[in-house]
Amino acid sequence: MTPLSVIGGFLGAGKTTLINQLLAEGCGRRLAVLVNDFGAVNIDAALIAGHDGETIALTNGCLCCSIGDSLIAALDGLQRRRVPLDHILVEASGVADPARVADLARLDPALALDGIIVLVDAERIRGQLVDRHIGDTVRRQIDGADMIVLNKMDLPSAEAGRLVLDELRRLWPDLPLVTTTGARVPAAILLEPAAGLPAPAAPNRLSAPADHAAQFLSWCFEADRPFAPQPLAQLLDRLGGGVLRAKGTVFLAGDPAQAMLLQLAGRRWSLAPHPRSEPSGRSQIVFIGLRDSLRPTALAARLAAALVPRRGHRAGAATAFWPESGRPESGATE
Amino acid sequence: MGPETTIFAARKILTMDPNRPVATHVAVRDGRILGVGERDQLSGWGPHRLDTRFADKVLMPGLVEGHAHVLEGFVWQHVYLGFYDRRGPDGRIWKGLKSLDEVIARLKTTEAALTDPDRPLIGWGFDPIFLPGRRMVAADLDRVSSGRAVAIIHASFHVMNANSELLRRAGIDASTNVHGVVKVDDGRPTGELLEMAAKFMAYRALGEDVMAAGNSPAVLRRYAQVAQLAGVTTVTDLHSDLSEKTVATYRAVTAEPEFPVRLVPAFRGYGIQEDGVAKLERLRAGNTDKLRFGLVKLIADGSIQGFTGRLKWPGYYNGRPNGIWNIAPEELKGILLPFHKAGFQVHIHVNGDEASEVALDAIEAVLAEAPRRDHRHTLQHCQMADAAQFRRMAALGVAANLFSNHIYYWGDAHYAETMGPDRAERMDAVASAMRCGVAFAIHSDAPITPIGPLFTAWCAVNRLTASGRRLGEGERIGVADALRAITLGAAYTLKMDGEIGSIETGKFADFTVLDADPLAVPEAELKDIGIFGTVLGGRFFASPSAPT
Ligand SMILES: [Zn+2]
Ligand SMILES: [Zn+2]
Repeated sequence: MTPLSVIGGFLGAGKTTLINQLLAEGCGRRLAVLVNDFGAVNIDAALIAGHDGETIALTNGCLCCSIGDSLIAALDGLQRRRVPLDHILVEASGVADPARVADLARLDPALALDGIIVLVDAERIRGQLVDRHIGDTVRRQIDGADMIVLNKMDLPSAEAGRLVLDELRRLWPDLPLVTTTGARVPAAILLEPAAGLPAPAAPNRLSAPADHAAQFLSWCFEADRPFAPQPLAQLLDRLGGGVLRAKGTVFLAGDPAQAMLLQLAGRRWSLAPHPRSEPSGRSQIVFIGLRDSLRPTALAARLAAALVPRRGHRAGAATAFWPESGRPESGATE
Repeated sequence: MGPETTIFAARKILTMDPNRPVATHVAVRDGRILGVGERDQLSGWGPHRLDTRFADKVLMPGLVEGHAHVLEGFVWQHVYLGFYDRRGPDGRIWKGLKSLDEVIARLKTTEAALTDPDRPLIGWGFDPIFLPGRRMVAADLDRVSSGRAVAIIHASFHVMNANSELLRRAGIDASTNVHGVVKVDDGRPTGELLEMAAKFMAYRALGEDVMAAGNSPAVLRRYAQVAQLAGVTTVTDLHSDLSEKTVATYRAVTAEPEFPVRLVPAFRGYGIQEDGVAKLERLRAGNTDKLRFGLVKLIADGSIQGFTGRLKWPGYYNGRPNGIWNIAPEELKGILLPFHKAGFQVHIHVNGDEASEVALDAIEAVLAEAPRRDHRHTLQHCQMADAAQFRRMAALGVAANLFSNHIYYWGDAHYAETMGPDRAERMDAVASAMRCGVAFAIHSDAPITPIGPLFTAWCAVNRLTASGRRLGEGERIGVADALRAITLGAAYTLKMDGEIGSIETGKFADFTVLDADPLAVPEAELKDIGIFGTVLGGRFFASPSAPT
């Protein structure tokens, strides 16, 4: 199954800019991006390995495809190329409901929905939300999102920027939100983490511009006892606390021999049998979140509380490990 | 030997020319009308051949369908399952199916004739709105075949039903959690699929996109044939990407002497990767008498019966949320402007009144920036426009092509569900458009409803719903005005009114040959007038004696 993410957001929110950056910088993955407006995608000629009408192949292994008339046909064409892909990213049109676009990933057994990321224009959003023609369209787009990227935060004044944040948090209190400028968001937040689990001592380093590196934090939780399924699900449903991404191997009480793969993107998460099962019994989850709101100690305690109680011990005394070296290095890549 | 002249004699010729509204003879030379009048008034042109095969018939200007789609020619490769009788390309009348059992029976008959066991069975035109009782489920279609994939595309093209085999092949089961996969209480899919799920399944069944399937020569010929049988001599294909393949097909097929209609495609003017203006200019340079490029089509909102049309306050009568934009309102002006400046005519699909308002705003803005006389940008469907919007249209020089067939097919649903009684009564307000001085036409949007301008005219005149309710007495128009709408009115919206739409000297010799005089039959029988055939550029195309 190929993970698929949807990038949504109203006209002018920065979807094309974000896609241009992903393609230009590469992201350590074989990524296929399906875009509405081929012409707007601005790929450095030196990066182009091949061009055949509806598809541009890049030297970094990525593909950029035109959606044209039909997204279904474009996705089908992509799958028929039989090139191995790590991830598919679909740009929803500026008026589309990205959740409906994401339905395709849920319908097609060859695809797995990774997440719906909706970009918001910090300068225009408050006006858009009350616009008589498009207010409902913009609200519907955000309703379906797993994560908001609040873009163009350099445009409003500090006071106006605060009002925008307050407004979005009031309307969508459970929706993880990243602020940025120039649509710059690390690939590790947009896309499912590329490789398997990073070693606990060397957590994911985020590729982010220097001025944004400090915004994100990555850390790892480990436990030898299995999780209790119900409490874990409840916890993941209401994770909050600035967690944007999580991925890891999890063992559940009831079937402690079956390794489960946990994936989380914003408020969407899934737990499925791990394709490369290692019955170690040791759960490991890497979290990526916002530095200013992610509280590893508090989150570790909540995670520990979701483990099955240790016989003869009180619950919550699990061994959790979160490295102090979680601080990403400026400009470092994965 | 001079040029060859034919004079057609008819019982009556309705010319649509106020200078000579009726005549008995029309002279034709080189595919064009040489003169209209009595025979002795035409003999001055020299020797001629008198053709009397229409001596007991009534001639009208060739009918013009200003809004239909080549898709109509595609769907007929599959079995028709609609509620109303519908005439296929071969003239055969397919009886409307009045119950689920009748639908299943027709599918079984069709299935029995299929030889390739891997070929999916596809039906179209099914509309549960007319079949009270329970909805169709996968088990119904499993009675048709359990081993073969069966797909039923609804009349709306936005909903479909699948049998268990097709669900299995597409991997849709109780674990599929998608908006649009209808499920029963225990979580199993019923086989009914909406919107994106429907498109996905139809794609899986057909192996191609339904909406993009309209560009093979066979499909185009079938489309022309359905139009011709309805008395149409000029037909649009009102939304096409005009890919190289499509254009090549259109050029080759319309050049065939036996191709019975003039074709006017409209270019989808947004979401394109190329310079649309340059492309249309290039295409227009190759225009022929039977193939006319130059229209642009934009789609602003969705449909009213699908609750996707954009409505002004108070919105949908049953409380459903407002519909969807296909193009953002703020984008519309920017998309319009280059085509407008280059002298092209833009047709904008607007169903709801919020969409027509936004389209008028965009046209007004474009005109302020680049004033242009006689642009004839046209609002298509324009079902909810009120008098104020029609006054704006008149002031801006915008034409309207109204969806009169909706009154019959969905009028009852509009009355009860979508619009409520008062707004349903002023839908497709042809009389308001006339009173406000808006140039207008009326259309079928085939294959959404069957192509048939006389039926469409009947709808505008009688405004009767399928259940027999009169919907909006104040918006009825007279027969003469309705006939004008399906000839000159539609020709005007295509900027072809100098060449077609009336029987006048110099125009193409395009006629529709009728068994009766539409101005003499009772208004209620307008739709029942037999179509004996058509004449295109002087050449006769007979309707097949339709087997029933
Ligand atoms: Zn339309
Ligand atoms: Zn249409």
